[in-house]
Amino acid sequence: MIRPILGRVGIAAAALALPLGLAAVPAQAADMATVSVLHAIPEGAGADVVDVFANGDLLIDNFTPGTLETVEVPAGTYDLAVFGDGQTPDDAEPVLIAEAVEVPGGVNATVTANLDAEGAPALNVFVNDISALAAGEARLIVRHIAAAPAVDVLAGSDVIFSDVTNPNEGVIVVPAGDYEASVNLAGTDTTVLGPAPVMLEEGTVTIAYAWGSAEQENLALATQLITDVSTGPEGVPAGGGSTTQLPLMAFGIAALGALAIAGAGARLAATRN
Amino acid sequence: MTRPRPALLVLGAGALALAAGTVGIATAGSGMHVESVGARPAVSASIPVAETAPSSPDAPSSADAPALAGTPYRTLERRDATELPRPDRTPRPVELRIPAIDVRVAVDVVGLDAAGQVEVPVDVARSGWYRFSAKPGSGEGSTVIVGHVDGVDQGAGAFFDLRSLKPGDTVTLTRADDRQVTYEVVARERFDKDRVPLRELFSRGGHERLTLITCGGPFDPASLEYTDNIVVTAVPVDSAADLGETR
Repeated sequence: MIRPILGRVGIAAAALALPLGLAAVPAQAADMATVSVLHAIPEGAGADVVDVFANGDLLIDNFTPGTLETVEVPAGTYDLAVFGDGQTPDDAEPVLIAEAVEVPGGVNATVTANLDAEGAPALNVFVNDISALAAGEARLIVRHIAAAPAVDVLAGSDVIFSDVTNPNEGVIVVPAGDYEASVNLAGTDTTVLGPAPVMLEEGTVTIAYAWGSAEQENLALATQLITDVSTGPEGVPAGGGSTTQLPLMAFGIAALGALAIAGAGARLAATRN
Repeated sequence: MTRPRPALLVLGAGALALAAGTVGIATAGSGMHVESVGARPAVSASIPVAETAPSSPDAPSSADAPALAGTPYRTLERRDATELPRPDRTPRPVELRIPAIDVRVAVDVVGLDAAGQVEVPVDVARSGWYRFSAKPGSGEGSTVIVGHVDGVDQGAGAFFDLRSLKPGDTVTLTRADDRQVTYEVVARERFDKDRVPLRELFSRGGHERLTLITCGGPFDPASLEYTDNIVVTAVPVDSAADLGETR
């Protein structure tokens, strides 16, 4: 049976401090926010089927472990409450609450219902970095929301995040492509998750969650993808000029000087910044 | 438009000959056109969302359709997060055909150069599929194929006549698995290279579409580049009718 967490979930307000990159939001999106909720409390911990309410209204129905649901909500302040299946704020006490969660317009955030480092249920709020990626890049975010000690996250044999503790994250931008990821107990060679092949797609934010419980031996990975955050390439240079300057270009590079003279009138008219 | 466009050079280059047809400013999509015919589907308006928005205050709740009726919340997606993302195995395009301009060319795979621009096949008789763009038939986003209008010393390129395509012309891509995907042109646009809406044109979100890009406009002998990009947008023939109202 999950104990109610009374009072505000401290991490919630702190985690919603906005990165600067989120300040620029399209006008029509400014009054809405995208919020995902991840059910990361393992089965058998008393939360196998729950309903999630926001400000007293049903937000997510029949929510089960390992499921991620994404909703669009108006910007505002939310009291989030998790109830046992079929129960409502009118007839029951919540099993988990997070009060006064600030959700600014345009933000992309994920709320996780998970175990804390000691194995007690908790709600955490993470702001997802969806700032634009240059062409060819991918962003990887790794979040520790498991009842487990500090870990290192490796790509191949390189440690990319060290000493990550529940409920914290590491963020890195890398060239898009295939990687092999693993999670070790911090400072050791003891692998607790993986190695697993991970495809980081261009222009996509891949969020990997380590969840479950080391003691219960049900540590697992969950993922969330946020696609289409690439700026696109810098341009498309797709012409050499031979069909417009053919007579001159036939003389090769030396013709460029002649071109400059012959085309002086045109170039004068064409003076540009 | 911030830069004056010299009429003398334009006429001298002879590169601006337009296909007959209406020329106007597109209402969908964005970017600063030099000219345009037809209209691209707007990317933002066509991002698919689950149809679970409140429809009736009396709508029954069920596990399959989250009950958000009467609330300000809208469900976008529910998925099993324990399924790790799988590599996209959709076959890539290998050949491009555009009957209206007698084009039948091989499609290479291209990426980015050191400056972050799209590599364009050196052989002007070939075209290139941008490897970070959507694959044909994947159901969503822009499949981008680039090709030279001409080369420094190779004469006219595969995409020389892209400037004369018009709405209704068809384009067919053949994939590595021999499946063909046929598209219908909905827009042809010419952008100053400083104003190309690259993010939209290359977006893997929004309506499934084919985006053909080459160079056009006046040739600048100082920079040895054309000043503009010509962009042709086509949508799968099955869905072209759905977009009729935006054309």
